[in-house]
Amino acid sequence: MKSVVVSVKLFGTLRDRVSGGYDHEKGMKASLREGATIQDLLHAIGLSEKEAGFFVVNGVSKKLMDGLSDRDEISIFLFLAGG
Amino acid sequence: VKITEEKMRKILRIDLSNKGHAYEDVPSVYANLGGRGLTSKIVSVEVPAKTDALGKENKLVFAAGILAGTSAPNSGRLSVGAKSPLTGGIKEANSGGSAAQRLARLGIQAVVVEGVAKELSMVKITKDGVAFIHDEALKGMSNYALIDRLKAEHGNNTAVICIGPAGESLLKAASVAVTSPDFQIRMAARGGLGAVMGSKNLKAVVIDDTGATGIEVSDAAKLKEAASDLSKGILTHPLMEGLKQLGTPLLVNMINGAGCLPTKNYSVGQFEDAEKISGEHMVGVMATRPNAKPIHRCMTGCVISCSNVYTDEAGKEIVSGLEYETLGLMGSNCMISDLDDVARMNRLCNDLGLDTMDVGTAIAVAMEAGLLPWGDGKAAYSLIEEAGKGTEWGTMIGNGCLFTGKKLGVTRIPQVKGQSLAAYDPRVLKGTGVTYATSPMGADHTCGNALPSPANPDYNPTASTGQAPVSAFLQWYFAVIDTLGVCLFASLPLLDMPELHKHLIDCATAVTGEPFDENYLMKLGTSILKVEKAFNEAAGMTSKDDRLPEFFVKDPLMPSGLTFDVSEAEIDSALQF
Repeated sequence: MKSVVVSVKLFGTLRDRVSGGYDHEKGMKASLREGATIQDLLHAIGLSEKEAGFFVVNGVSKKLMDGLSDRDEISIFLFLAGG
Repeated sequence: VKITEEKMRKILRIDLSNKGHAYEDVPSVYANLGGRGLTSKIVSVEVPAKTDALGKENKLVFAAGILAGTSAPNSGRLSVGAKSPLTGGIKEANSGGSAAQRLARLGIQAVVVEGVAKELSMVKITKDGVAFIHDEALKGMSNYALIDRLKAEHGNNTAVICIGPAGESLLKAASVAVTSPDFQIRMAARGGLGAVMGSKNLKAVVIDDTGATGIEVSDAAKLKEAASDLSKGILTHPLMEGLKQLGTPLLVNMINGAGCLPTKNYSVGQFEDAEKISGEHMVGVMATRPNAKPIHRCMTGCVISCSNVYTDEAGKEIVSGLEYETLGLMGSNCMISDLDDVARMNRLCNDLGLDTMDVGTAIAVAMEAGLLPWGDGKAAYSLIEEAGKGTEWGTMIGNGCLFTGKKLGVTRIPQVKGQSLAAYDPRVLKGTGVTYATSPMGADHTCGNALPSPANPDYNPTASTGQAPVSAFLQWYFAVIDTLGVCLFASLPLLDMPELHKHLIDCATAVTGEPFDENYLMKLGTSILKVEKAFNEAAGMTSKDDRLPEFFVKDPLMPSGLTFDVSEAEIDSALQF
């Protein structure tokens, strides 16, 4: 089965939650099956939808069940709040 | 349980013209109100809508929320109300700190300040009444020194409400400072209410609740249960952990990611140095600095602790409460990427008694005019300093972004009704844009910020239709939250968890003894907005004042290329309750 590789940047306290450390300058890569969603990515890197609530893919805001494509750049944030 | 008459909360009227004061039973027209609902009602009934906001007919009202002084979580917000010299309309500015809880314990629902003192004065409120104090040395004092002095003179069991030199000089971006339990400065920042206080020759109010008997509620057992259920519910929301660890600066990277972080006077929606002014970076910096506190409470009973204390490399405090709006409007929007520069600008605004939001926006407008270079934090600091000296440039910047833009011939001035926008570009967040346009307060994110949430996946903030109902819902909801005296952040989980509304309504019922039903929040919220809108209309405002500046409609925001394209008809439908 084909796989897709995406670049991941993490924000907020999510940076401390990923095992093996996280370097924000470099970001991280994740390999997923074709047709994988943002939710699948979260589970693959050890996060849950209870921790992460806001996603930007290639500069556009996306939702949890939206799909990912090869070479997508995704930023994963905590939940939004008005400040 | 009926609350006994001597335990009923009172309205304290202070007449500065003749040094008089009186405690009044709350009349029926003001019954079961607090916070913003009460300040707006008093202003609408007692202040002529067309009067000069800096004249003697204006009144300055300090109100505790309905839930103030109780165990309801985060219920110590203070509402400050008057006619605004910045917008020319009704105004409520809102602050944390300990003032509202101390007023409530003294049995005071609101303080109505009337008249003008003959000389610069201070008022002290205790359980025994009101004392008028004249101290020539307070004249021209900046907030940090003033608060240190008043704390030393009047003790730790006090809250101070005061103005700096900007308020004394009647600058239209002047704020009202309110102290936290540890005497950090919080600000009722918006709308120039510091200038209203200055126009009354009132430098400070000291509230000492020593020996106060505390508040009596109608049903203590019901309150205890509802408050506990509410706190527990709030704390289960995933937002809380991020707010506690990073505070509101967690928004910098998020809003930048969403492409709507105001940058270079709202000309683009992303700042290449956003990470340098982000909450993530700030927490890292604070970890290396002595005495820095990434987690700090601005009020007793806070279950979130989103505030912070930011220090320099030597551990000397720069500012407490370095917040997202300041980082956006004094940082990215001015292209300033040095966190210490932004923190020092924030401190200077606190010291002079200025709103960081309107002043930050004014600096960006001045940068667009070429008065100072983009990104130059030191030059920006010097420009703010002028506001304390009464120079021409200082008067300009201290009067806010609209005044500054007009003086310098800038056409792109991000304001509505004279008040600057917050750090969310409305071309991407269009529901927030409708709130900016239609809120009776002028452009104000705290009146209804429509951000995307996983709990509401169908809401599209960038759609050109469907924004007015979202804005309207948020506007009445936050009008109620400001009336109950609950912190906005503690109220956000309730938007995603409607089952918690019952506990909030139960808290209000337990405190007042009124059997509020499930429509209480909507009925109260919409009634407050109607009162405020009617005041503004009587002051001369029309639907033409409910518009964003033209550049948001005409100039696409990069990288999304979006414009603010909600129709005028939809905007005008928002607050038709």
